[in-house]
Amino acid sequence: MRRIAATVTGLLLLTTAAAGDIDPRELLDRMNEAVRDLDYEGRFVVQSGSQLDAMYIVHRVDEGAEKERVVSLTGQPREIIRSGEAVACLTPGSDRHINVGRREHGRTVSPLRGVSAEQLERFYRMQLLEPERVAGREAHQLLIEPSDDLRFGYRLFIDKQSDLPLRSMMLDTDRQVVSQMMFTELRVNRGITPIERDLSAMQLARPETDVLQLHYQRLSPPAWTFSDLPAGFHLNAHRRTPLPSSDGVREHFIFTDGLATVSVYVQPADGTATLPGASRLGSANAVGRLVADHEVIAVGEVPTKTLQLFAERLQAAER
Amino acid sequence: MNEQQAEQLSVLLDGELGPAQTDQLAQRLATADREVLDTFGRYRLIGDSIRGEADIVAVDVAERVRARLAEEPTVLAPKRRIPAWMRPAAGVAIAASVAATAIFVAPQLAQVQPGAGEGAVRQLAGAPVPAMAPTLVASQPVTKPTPQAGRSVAGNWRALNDDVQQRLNRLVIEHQEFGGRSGINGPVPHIGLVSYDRR
Repeated sequence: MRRIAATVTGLLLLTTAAAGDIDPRELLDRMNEAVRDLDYEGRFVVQSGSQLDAMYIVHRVDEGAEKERVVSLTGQPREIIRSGEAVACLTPGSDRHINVGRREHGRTVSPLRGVSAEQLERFYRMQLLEPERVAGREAHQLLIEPSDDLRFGYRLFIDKQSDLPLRSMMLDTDRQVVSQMMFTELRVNRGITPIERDLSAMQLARPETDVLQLHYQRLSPPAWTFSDLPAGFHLNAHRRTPLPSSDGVREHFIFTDGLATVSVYVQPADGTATLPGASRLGSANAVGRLVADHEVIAVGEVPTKTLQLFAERLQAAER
Repeated sequence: MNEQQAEQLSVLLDGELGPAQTDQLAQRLATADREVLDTFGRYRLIGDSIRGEADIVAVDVAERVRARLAEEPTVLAPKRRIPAWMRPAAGVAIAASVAATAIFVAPQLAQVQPGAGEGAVRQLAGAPVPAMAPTLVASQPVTKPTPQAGRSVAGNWRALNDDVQQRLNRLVIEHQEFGGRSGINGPVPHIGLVSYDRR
């Protein structure tokens, strides 16, 4: 009897130790990889402010290239199709609603890469809470709280089997929900709807790589710099793209603190279509301002205050 | 439309269909039903969109393609029998006509009137669709929210004018594509672009 009790106690201790052993940082790494590397299909709901929407997603990886289709199931039908090289946003009606973004590389890298655990811990407190069930699946629950008001917090429910985020809540400093998404149904790896048929035209229509443009992007130093970056953020990437409507160039700076990402775009102002002040799209905020005849637009899943700091601290680089 | 036909359409648009098959398919397109034309238009439009050749999304691709095909019956539905030795060349000519037709169609979609696409939400022709996949094609007329004069733009992307919205949407896509994909906001980038609607 004593032996049985000791065994049970031992097992309990082992279980507790196993749960406590989960490293939040490692869990985030695995989640970021799962999002890119797994085949999955599901339905989920998205809440932003007072709006609630239902969506469908199918994501597949074929020879290392991600393919994805996201369709809104509520309201007017909208659809996003991504291939390894391009993104198309299809919306109905007679208005102009299509957007094409092109990636110079087939796969994107998690912003968490290149950020040490110590750096991350300076700006976020991470805590594993009791596991919960989402979409009929057991999930780790991870609470991430920011240590200042320059970034949002998160509450994540990560699938124990696949490491996919089953539910993600973005929280302000008062732990109020800014936006969230939650799967209601999810299939992973097996029985995924084929999307090749839908994407066949897209796969054939590979955007031609502009070798000169890439060359130009790599060789040209930024014409702009930042006097002082908001705490915790570092420059992750810099791109330059020629503007189709003029001889000008748009510079794109991408910053990250490991979890949040901010983009700052700078281009010559043409006097039209300037973004006035702050605006919001789902979980993303945007801030615009004019600097020395240039339009500056900062975009990111961070508080407006942070975007304003980026926009204000931009200045022309000394040549 | 069966799977083989769908495949043929896709290959035709890729320019890889043989002359004889192109000939056959072009004639079939001239008398095709709406389902086939929908698929044809969709394939073409996605390709054009990705290449940046079409800035507009279809409201009713099928009817536009049909109308265009009807205008060119002598090319797309030849009554005269072509001598066997001429068929390869004729096939190439027909393929070129079909391609040109499709490219013409995309820019005209801007002028499609509201209401023209009623009933156009439909299942992708011939695709075996398991229960989970939605069956719609983004092809309905839209009732756009009217921007309210004098309203603050903060928190109201749709209150901005169309040009600004277009530019911001593109910047958000680039931000999320080049910023590196993570699951921190869920597995899906660009959710805002798909869901953001009625504000």
